[in-house]
Amino acid sequence: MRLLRRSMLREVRARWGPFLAVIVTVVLGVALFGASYDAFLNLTASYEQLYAETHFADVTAVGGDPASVAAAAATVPDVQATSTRSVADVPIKVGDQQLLGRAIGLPDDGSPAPVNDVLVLDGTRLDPSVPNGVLVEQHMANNFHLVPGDTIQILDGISWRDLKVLGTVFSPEYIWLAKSRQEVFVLPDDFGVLFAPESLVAALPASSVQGQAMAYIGPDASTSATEATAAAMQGAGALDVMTKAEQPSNAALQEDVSGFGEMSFAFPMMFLGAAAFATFVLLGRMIASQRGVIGTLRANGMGRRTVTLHYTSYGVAVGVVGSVLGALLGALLAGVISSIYTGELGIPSRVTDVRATTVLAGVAIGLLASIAAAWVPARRAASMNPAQAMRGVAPTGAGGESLLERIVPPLRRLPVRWRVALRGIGRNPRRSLATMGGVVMASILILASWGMIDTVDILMHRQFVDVARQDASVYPVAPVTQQELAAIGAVSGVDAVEPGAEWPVSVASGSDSYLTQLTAFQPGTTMHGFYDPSGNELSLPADGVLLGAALQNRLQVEVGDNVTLSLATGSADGTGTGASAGPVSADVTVAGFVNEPLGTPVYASMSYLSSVLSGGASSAAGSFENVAYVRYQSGADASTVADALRQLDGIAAVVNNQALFDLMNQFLGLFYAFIGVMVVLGGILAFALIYNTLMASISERASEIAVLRTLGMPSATVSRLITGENLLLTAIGLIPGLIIGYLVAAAFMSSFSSDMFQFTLDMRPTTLLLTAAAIVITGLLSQIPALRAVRRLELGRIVRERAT
Amino acid sequence: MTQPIVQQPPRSDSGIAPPPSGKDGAAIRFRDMTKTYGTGEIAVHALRGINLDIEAGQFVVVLGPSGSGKTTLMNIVGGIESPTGGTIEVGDRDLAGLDDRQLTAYRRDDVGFVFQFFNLVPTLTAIENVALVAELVGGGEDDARAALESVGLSERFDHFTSALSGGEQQRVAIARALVKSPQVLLCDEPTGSLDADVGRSVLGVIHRLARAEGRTVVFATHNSVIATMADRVLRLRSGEIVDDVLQPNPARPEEVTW
Repeated sequence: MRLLRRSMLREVRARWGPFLAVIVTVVLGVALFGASYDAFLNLTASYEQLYAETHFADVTAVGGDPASVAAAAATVPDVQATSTRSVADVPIKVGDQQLLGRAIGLPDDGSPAPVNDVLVLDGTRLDPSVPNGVLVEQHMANNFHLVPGDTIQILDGISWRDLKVLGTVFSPEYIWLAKSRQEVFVLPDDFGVLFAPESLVAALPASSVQGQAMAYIGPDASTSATEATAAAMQGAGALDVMTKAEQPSNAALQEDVSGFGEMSFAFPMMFLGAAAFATFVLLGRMIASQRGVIGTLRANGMGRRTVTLHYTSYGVAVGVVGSVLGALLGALLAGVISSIYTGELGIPSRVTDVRATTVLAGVAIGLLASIAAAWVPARRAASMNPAQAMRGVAPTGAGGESLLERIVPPLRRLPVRWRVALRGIGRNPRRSLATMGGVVMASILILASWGMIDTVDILMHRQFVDVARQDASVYPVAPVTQQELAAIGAVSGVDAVEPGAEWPVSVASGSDSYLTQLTAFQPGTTMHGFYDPSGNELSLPADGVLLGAALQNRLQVEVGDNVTLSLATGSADGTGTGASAGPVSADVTVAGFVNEPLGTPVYASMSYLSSVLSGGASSAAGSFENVAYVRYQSGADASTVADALRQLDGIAAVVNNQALFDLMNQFLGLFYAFIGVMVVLGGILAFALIYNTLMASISERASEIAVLRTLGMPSATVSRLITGENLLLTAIGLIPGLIIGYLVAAAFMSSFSSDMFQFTLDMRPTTLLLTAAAIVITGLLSQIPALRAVRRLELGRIVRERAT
Repeated sequence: MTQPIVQQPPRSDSGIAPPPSGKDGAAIRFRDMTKTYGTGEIAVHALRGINLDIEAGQFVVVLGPSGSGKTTLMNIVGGIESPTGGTIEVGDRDLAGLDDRQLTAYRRDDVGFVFQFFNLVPTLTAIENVALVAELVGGGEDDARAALESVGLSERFDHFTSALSGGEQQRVAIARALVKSPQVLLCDEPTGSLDADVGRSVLGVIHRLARAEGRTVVFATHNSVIATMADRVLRLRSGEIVDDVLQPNPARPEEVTW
């Protein structure tokens, strides 16, 4: 065996190119597994650690009497803690900057909240001796450079009230700064969160205050315990309940976490599958060329086991080198990815572990795949009949027309050299399958990645151009008046202004409910586009409401059905203003469904809304119209106009659509970089596999090629034959590759879809062409070494080695 | 000059047709030709100072054991290896001065090769194997058909190589070599993989077709019996010509037995 090992090392040295290609594929597969799996575990652990530390609520209920709802939750055996609080969306001012704010109540005495506590990053907790002291959430603090001792202002309904910043905090509810499930992307310039004494928040205008009850079950909360708690809270009169999984920030983060989890399975499968293919082909070719040697050794008494072990050892060598390097690279990448990701999110205590179990698992997976791939041809070598093997020439098969010639008979009249290329495909079906397999896998990687870019790009355009047609949303401190509308319209750069309304509502049908945002427009609005799930444009109905398409299944409703709309704001004790008890609600008719990329909203015309919620709604809200939608003149500078709007009297905040679009593009930068990496990896995969199978093909046909060259066929003609065969295999592989790639892209996009994001694959036709072109180019590049080998064939040596 | 290796029986009629009109064979001239592989202590002198003139149309058998240099000599004449020193001219062409492209053209236009192991393309039929080479010189399946008929394989046009016997495959290889009407035919142990009877019939085909066109034939073998059918027998040992015998009355292929 020692001498066999020496022979193996020399063999590997002689064919270092193909072996290196296989090793690279193993390295990538194992590294991607390690990086994505440990990143998945690290992120999960980081979040869970922080959620446990802050007692992140497992169930949050709005509406009803918070105390009663919390008491009902406390009766559930698994619940460790319950709490109530007030939450108010009110304007905030930092210096001259006005923005929409959310004030959240914490215990007045400064003690930690039993549920949904915060972590102090700088300064102190609330201090009962400082009744106007507040804690600022880190996004707002970082954006406005707020430190303890600074002063900010809150609009308490009548006037701006000074608040003193006692500290900056991390909140588990805002790791991702999402205003709601419908508004997952917000600018820190436009939305900020602060934590204030409960008594301060509860005293804010009732129309903006929402009472909440929260329950904490623990890190290992079971689904049944969560459901039991939610049921108890609803039974106690809660308008709507939201589980931890549905909490906007957590839901957004879990999309990424689950993405890492999926990658840790999908990528190793793909790359290690390719490595196994390549090993199989490489070893198969080597064994075929060594038939005579194998036969001779077997004839001289070498056992099958020895032969099997010898050739399997190639797989062991490839597996060991590739897996160890891959595991190390994966461990490094996992740490880097985890650090960058959690750093971007501002998570105060991060888990960036490198787990020995992940490293070992990666090595084991890579090793197993390589050994399994080598074992099959090794067994075949050991099973060779020595007498037949010593003849030295492998059986070449029966020969025959290619399938293409049988399907398309005119192909039989092609010049003979092109028939060589056509029939070369069927000559070694396993090798051809390996090449096509590489093309399929690469196509899937590249098309799925590119398809996602297309989809995101198209959806962004749809959301910010087709759907949201306003350039800015202006939020006054009080319901919009005609004078304010006129003043807004008079600002230089403003082309059109319309009043509107935005209210948090619960939509219910039977026992199912959903908390979302109701947006009302004036009839015939030009500030919003409404599109049904088929993409047809709808008009804002005069009667009835339009629901986000996700609600059709969620609430089990159809067009014409009735749903109950309940405004989710009221005073902290749930009684609303005046003497009315309970939230304002009304039954409305479903007039249609809309499909928008972001959110699952409810739309209605203001006249309809006014008619169904008249009286009660007016008393709850004062007046409906709490926003003005603005469209700029063509060529107007968005920032300048927005700044001018902010300067108007009575304006609390201006949300600039363009700025929001830019923010999303900024976040997508990381996504695009990731996709770019996927495309490159797809190219490497295709290159490695095609290169390997082509080199094996050249090696097998060296004598044949040498004879053709000897008979006077120019090397350029030989190169064209090989290129033709390669391109044909690539083209055949592209057909299933593009189809499967499309399906994978659709499945992948749909896996990200939820009520927060509706991601339906929307791929441009050119993407299919570009993917095909990328694969073909990769195939052409991968054959360069093989063509060089053909040009360098030593005709004399090959001819001599076949002579006696 | 040394005695011929094998005594030739007297002959009255060689049964060989006169060369028809068409491409004639080319003369081959070697001057101090050497071929060395490697350098220094591991240098192998495959050919040492070969000086030789082969007339156009001559049927020359090159005899010698393995390692004597016969294949190297053939390869150099065929333009698939280059001499280390000296010159070699085929017709009016000095091969030593040709680049790869020119050597490829020389092989395509002027040389036909027949090898011991046939080396046919297994995914092509008999006629396609011959047509593949015919297309290199502007021909097609019609030329391939005629070439196969001349080697007696008109019943085997559409058979794939796996369905042909060893002798039939070698005849396809001969047809492939001759379809482009080369001036020089190089045969490197063409009967080495065949039994005696089949080998004899293949010899007959080569002999008949080469003579019919007046081609210059260089036939390498270690089988001295085959040498009886040659116009001239060269014996190589350790890269040198140790014997060079003219045979005015070569045997017919059917008379050669081993």
